[in-house]
Amino acid sequence: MKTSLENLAAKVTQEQDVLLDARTKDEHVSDLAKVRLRAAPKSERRPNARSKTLSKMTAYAALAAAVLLVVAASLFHAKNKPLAFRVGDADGDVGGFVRAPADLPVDLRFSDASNITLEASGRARVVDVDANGARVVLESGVAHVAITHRDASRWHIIAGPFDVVVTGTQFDVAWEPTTEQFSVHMKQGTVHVLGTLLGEGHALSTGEELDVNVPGGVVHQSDTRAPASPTSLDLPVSDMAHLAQDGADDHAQSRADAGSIEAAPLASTIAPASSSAAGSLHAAAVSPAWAQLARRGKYELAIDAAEAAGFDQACDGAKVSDVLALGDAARFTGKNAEAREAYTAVRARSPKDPAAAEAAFDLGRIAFDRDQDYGAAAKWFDSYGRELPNGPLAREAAGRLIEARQKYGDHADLESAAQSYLTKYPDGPHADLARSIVNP
Amino acid sequence: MGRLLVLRIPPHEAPGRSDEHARDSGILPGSPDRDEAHEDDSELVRLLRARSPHAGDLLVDRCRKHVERVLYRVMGRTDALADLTQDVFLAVFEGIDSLREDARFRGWLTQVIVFVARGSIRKRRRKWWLVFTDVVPEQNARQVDSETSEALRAVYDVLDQMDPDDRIAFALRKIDGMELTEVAAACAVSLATIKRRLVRAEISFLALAADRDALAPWLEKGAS
Repeated sequence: MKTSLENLAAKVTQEQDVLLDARTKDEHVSDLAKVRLRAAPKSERRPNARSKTLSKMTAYAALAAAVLLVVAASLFHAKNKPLAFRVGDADGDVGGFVRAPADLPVDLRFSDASNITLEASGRARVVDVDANGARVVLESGVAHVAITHRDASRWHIIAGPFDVVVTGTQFDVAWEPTTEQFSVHMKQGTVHVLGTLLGEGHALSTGEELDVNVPGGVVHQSDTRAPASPTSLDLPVSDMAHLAQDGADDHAQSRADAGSIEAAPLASTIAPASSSAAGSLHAAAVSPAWAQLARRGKYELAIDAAEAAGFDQACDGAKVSDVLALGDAARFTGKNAEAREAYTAVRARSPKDPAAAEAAFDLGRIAFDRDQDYGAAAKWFDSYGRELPNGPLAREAAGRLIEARQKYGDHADLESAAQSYLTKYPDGPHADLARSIVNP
Repeated sequence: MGRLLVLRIPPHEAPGRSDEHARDSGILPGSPDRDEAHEDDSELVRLLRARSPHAGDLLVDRCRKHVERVLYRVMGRTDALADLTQDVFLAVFEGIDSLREDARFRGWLTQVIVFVARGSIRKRRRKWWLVFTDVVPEQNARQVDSETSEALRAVYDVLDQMDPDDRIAFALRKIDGMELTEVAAACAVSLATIKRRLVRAEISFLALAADRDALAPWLEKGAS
């Protein structure tokens, strides 16, 4: 017996065949002539002189009108046009969550030539973009920020309870949520930093550093250009990166899967032929090409390579951290179905691994950001919270669970999610939203 | 230009010109590609590679119906069929040198069709804001009753909401009735990948179709 879908498909086929056959002979002849005209070699497509001249005049007139229109429209709209941005090779989504792979940085490039490089394992969200700048939330990790100065430029880099107000400058900023350690290292220009323990705020200029340890109530401002003093922290940026990541990224460790081998950069994964047994082991653990491409931010190429190798074999046979990276590459390039496939494979293969929880979080993001399926998104964010309650994305998952339930209209569970969030993260980025739900 | 508008192909060089032969060669709707077509395709490929003035006529005469059929299955509309068909033939002209084995011409052609269709789908998605009318504007009312017309429209409305790759796999397999291996080859992915894609596509289609009143009678009929 045919299924309902087969019946419907058969009906479509049947009706299409009728319609195809019913296309009139005139239509076919007309189409055929067009096909042949376009298929002809360019040298054979020679309209007569008059029609050529008319065509040229028409084209020039149309071009001139179009240029005028575009210039006028550009002048009118340029002032208010929000900046566009790209994350790696993909277009960025406002509100979307950006997570750098465990071993590679990710660039957020804005249309005004400003650039934010998120160090490996860093997490950030571009929460708002307008014509003059953007608000970027650094969830964790280190970001190298280079903002193009313009008269009206106004950028905010928000890290935990801190807000770095920027008009045009270069600096590094680090935020480690688990230790609540915040650092800014100025390279050029000035910024104004607002936030906990900073009173009216701190102005920083070229060469200055600011370190804040929130639990210890310690604020330290120093000038790296001045002679070193016993009280100056004087940390180079690379050390800041380690400081920010030390003890924080169990998530990054889980992505590294079999230790540091897999997460190592491409160059270090290629063992020389004459290397020792350890070298052979090293070589055996080398990730497939698509995984390396994914980690290098070559997302389109990574997907193509995985498709060529068999996407499903990749999901079934590769290391879990590679499959997660593949899912990320698919998600960044808008291939939601492939991303879902990869993340689902991770969950099926390693249900008790922290990677499964990560995959749940990513599935939640796709459901929320791309599918607008808020019911499913809530389920996935809730899964992350249950499976990895102290994981690096726990706060984010709890916050997005509130958003998802609110959008889904799940009022029965919305208040409990909000209450739970406030209990755990009273100063978190979703705290205001949670309070508005608990105390409307 | 005029030279290509005149069919100069001697009968022995144009075996696919009659409908009967074309049907045997597997280029009419509903008939799968067959091995016996390949010898003839080799001659076509030879002419295409040689940039013969006859190549265009022969290509159009022999492959137009196959191209139109596959495009129609995937796109679900005839208004853009002529333009897309032209795009396919241009792509064939320009890309013929990349065909490695002449005997695989038909499969390669189907890949080109899928490539052009996918590009069109994505372009339409990017330009959704330019669409002021229904995206499936026409079905031939002279031929199809209104209930069926609505169902056809609804099917492609649903397909429009699906991932383009899933949609293409679904259309080739479910509507055109291609074999799984043919669908995989047309989409340039492995057999296992196409199976997964089809499962996803079917789930997605049924979920989206559930909201379509026009499809309810068809799906209910089939379930009985």
